[in-house]
Amino acid sequence: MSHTIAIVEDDPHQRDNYADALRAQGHAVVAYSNKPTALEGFKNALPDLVILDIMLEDEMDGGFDICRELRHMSPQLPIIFLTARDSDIDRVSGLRLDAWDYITKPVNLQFLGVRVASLFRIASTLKHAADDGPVALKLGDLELNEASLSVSWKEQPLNLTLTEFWVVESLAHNVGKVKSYEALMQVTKQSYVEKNTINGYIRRIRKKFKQVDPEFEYIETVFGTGYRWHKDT
Amino acid sequence: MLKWFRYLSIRSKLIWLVLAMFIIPWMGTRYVVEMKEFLLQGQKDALLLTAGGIATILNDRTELFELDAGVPELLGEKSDSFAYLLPRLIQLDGDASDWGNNALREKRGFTEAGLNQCDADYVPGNFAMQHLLGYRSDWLYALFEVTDDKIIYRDLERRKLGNGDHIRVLIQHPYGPLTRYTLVARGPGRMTAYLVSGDWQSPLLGDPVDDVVAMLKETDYGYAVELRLPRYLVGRYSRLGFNIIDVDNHETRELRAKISTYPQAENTQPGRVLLTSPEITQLLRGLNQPNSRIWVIDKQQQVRAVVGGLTPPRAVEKPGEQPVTWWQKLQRTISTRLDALLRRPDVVFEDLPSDITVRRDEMIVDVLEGEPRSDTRRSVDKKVKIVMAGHPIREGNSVLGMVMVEQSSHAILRSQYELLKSLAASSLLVFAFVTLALIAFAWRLTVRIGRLHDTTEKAISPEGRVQDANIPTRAYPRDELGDLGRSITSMLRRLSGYTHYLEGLPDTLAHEMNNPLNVVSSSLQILEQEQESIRGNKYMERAQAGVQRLRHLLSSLTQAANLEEAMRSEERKRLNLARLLRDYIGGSQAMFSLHRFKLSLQYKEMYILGSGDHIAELLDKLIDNAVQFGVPQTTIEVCLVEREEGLLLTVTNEGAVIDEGQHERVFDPMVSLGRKDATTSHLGLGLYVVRLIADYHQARTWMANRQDGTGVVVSVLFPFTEN
Repeated sequence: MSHTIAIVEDDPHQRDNYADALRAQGHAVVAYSNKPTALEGFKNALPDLVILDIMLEDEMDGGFDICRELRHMSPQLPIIFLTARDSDIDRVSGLRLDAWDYITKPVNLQFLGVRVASLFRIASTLKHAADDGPVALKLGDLELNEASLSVSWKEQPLNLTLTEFWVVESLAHNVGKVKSYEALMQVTKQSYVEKNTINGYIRRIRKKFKQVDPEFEYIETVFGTGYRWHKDT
Repeated sequence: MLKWFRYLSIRSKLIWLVLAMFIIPWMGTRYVVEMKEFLLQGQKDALLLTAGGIATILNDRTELFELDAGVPELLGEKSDSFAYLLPRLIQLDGDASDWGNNALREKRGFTEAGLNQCDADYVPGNFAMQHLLGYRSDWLYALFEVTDDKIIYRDLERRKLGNGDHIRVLIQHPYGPLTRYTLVARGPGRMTAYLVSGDWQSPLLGDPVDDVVAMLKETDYGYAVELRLPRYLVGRYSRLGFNIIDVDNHETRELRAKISTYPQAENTQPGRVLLTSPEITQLLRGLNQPNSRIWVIDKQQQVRAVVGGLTPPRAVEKPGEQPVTWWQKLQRTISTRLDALLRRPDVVFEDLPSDITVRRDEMIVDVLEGEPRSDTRRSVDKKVKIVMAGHPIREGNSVLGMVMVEQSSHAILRSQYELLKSLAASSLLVFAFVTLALIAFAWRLTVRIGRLHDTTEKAISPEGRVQDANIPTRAYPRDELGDLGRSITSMLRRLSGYTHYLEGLPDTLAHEMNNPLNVVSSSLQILEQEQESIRGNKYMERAQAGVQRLRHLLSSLTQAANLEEAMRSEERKRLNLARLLRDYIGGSQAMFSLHRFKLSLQYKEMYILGSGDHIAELLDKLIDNAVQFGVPQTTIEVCLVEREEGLLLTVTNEGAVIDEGQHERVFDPMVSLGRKDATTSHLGLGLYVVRLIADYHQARTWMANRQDGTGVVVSVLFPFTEN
């Protein structure tokens, strides 16, 4: 079944490259270059997945505006931010708008395909099952469900992005063992990852856990090497 | 010239300016001195006028300057006692009634003071004498009223001349012999006069002389004698003296007591001869002014008359009002201190006695040549200045003599002193106040400038980052200093804005470059997928490697900016740095196989307050730096020791040293120590990140060369944790 992917990106070369790559993977693609045309298009037909740049032509936060509008139209539409903006504030803003993922440029088109595929799978799981389906992994207070991209700690749901989910999942699958930076870089499925990128993901993940449990200390730093999920859970 | 002034602090400069203000009282003093000169000149002029006036009265009065116009002064008497012009010729009968009341008032009493020889049992009431001198026409008269309890007349049987009560007359001629007369009486009536030798007993001539005539009359208290001398006998420059001799024992006829009109010491050397002109003196008396002295001097510079005195009657010190207010008390205290300082002019001073006969002042010569002159001289004891004005007395075209009027400048000195005193007192008070005010102002100003300096210094960190753009201007009023504070604030704000822009620049740059890079990167990926043959092509691989390097650069650029943001939300915890280092170095060894790591820890547990992730990031950068610049196969030493100020972390590597002057700069962004490998990036952001993290932990960072010059040491000094 062919899905429609909408791309909103003001740079024509990047837009075309994404479109070409996604079409090559068998998806239908509609591309918009700015907020008005995109919103106009979405009113006519809602796509199955949207890839948004944040800065659109002269609008600094055009992508966020579109995301907000889309959430009104469909609460469960998978939205990915694909942007050059790498600050924590932007990431937080994106996630507050219920984006499913936030990836930074430059992007690896292959990995982009993988993400898109994952998101479609999750979306269809959510659409077809009333509940979240079977729990894929239960580790003490942690519950992970890959199919629905849901994570909960002490029975409280956490709002993680797809990448963050992968990192938590990777750590949780190897309790007590160190996940090196190299291993974690692979898990994030991005084209260019540095130690700091991993540190950033871990920092944000810890923060989200701490929001529901201030005592959360299970993700442990192994200085100079990587991270591990604490054994005691 | 005033170069040194530039190097002084504002405080010292102000003190100098205050000192410069002392010119004002100096000018005041100058003014007072000038005014004194002016007043003195005025006084001179006034005296000259007076002298002129008096001289006019005496003009053409030749007779006043005649030789025989002078009357010999009574020996030993003050000059103001002189022979009186008697109203009529005297009837020589011992009765003083014809002398006239004016003269009789001037009668002088001689008792003890005039007694030169007396017995131990002398009773004052027993022997005393009243004496008066007068003249009329060519005659000089003397009156003696002698108190004597026992009158003894001359006994003719005895050989000694003065064997009873008698009178001795001494005439002292200038530079000549002394003429002595002894007047004896055999009873009341005419006395007999003998010209005698030095012993007063032996008559030089066998007969009595006729020109000295005296009459004795017995009175209730003793006897009275009237004596007449022709004026030619005494004449000019002569002196006259009388002795009254008392003999009380009828049998022994011993000289019992003597009253002398002149002090008679053993030495009877003739003194100066003073000759005054009674007429002139009387004329002058009417003209006399208080505190001034009028001299009349003849052509020979001989003093012919002098009246008045320079010393004012001693002023009775007023009790003065008792100071009531603090202001009056202060004034009095200052006044007392100033008296000692300013040498208060003395009211009492000593000057020429009135009985001098010759004035030798330079001025006199000029005046006697016909030129009115004025001058000043010091008093004999040098205490005051005396103003003199002389005016010639003329007779036709010739000069008869001169009038000289003298006055002490005491009054002027006194007012000058009072002026100086009040000037000094008020200057002192004003200066004390102004100086205090200026010093307080200067102090306040320098404190404010100092404070501004301190705040400005603190506003920018040693690295040049604006820490606090707000100079507290609330404390600065709307003056220049306040304006300066405000303009520094606005300057700092602008600088801060610019710094923000600069700090944000790498991020913006990276963001802008990411888009074209993404185009290149994604295009390469699509190209590789579409064209199977290209896969593995070396040019393709190089292009991808280039893209990779560009990504690394861009990520480095944004890292610093993101780090600051991340740290702001991070919480610091008590952290065992020793353990962290042990773990970290253990993990690093595997990653950098080209170098050996050596870790030395002073203790197993060394705590700091920090964020583990960021400390790890700091270590990343330090190790990166050491690996990048360290010679391969050498040892990188990581060391943590405890110092007085905190925990010192050092990372030492062998390799290139840094140049002098670079030590501080290496921690600045975009400063690189040099390139070693063309394929790695050298944006110089690594050590900047170290500094950012260190700053966040209140740690100090510095870099130095190793002492043996074989490499560098990067040090981070963490403060101790509170507990």
